[in-house]
Amino acid sequence: MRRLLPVLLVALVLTPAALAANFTFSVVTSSPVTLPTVTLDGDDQSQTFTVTGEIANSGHAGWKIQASAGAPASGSAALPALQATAGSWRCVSGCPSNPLPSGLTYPMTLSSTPQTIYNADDGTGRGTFDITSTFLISYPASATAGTYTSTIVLSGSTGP
Amino acid sequence: MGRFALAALAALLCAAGARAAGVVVDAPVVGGSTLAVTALNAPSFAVTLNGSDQVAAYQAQLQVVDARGLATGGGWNLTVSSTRFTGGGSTLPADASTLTSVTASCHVGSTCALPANTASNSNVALPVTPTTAKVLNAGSGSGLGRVDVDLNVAVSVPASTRAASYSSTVTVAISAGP
Repeated sequence: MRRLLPVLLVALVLTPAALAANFTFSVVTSSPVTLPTVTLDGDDQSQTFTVTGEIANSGHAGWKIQASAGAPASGSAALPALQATAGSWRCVSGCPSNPLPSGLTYPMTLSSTPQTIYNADDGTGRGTFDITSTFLISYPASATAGTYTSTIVLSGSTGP
Repeated sequence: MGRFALAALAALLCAAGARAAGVVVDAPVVGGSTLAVTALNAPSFAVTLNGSDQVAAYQAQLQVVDARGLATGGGWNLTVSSTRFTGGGSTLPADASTLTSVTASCHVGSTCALPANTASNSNVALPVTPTTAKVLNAGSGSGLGRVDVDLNVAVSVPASTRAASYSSTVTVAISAGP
């Protein structure tokens, strides 16, 4: 009986360690992101900006970054919804498998419903990566003056 | 043993769960100073005298830019006046020109707010200088952006008109406020 107990303990310790793939996601870009001031000129205008997040992943299931955002608003006035227009990755450290995105079609119009703006397919994206997403904000000619604010909610999770 | 099992389960849940963070985006927009109207064409027409009274037509194409970005207290109005058609020492009647309609549309590349018009601009006698008439206006919060405006004018040419090249100057002015 005394011989059996250490064997059981070892088995319990090893099994969770083998299954638990470590995954973390954090946003690197400081909030708020203040865009350059736009001066109305009678024509439609737009700007792009980027937001970077960091993913550290050791699992083989792939991962995804999702985003949601309301339309930029200033009081009762609103601009068109933000769009995600591109995504890219950069290896920060220890990247045995670079991310291979799949099924992404830009531009993506952001709404209150989270949608995948970047991902790593099954078996890819192992390591620590900076993921930079490019967003487009549009100013129609009919926009009124004001400071428009929107909050982009980003989340990362495992699975492509 | 029980305590360790709970710790291992928590680790597994954390590995699969989503992490969310919000990034606030501030986009400041300031109004420009432009409130202007410009002419886009120099319209002309030709009439061949045939012994009867005739009516010709032309279209004056204009462009209004309101880049002030005023949500309230904005708006604008267009006033028009014209000189009589003169040519070869002759003139057409003072009431020869009639504004038949005015149309407004957003210029390509400008998602404008079309003017919410309350001015009468259908079958309006084109006033002779210095009298002016308001032919299009934009209520507050409308008329923002770059708006193409077409003035459609009919010109009566009496049968007694002498052959010549007649010309008239149509003056369009823009003012702030509807």
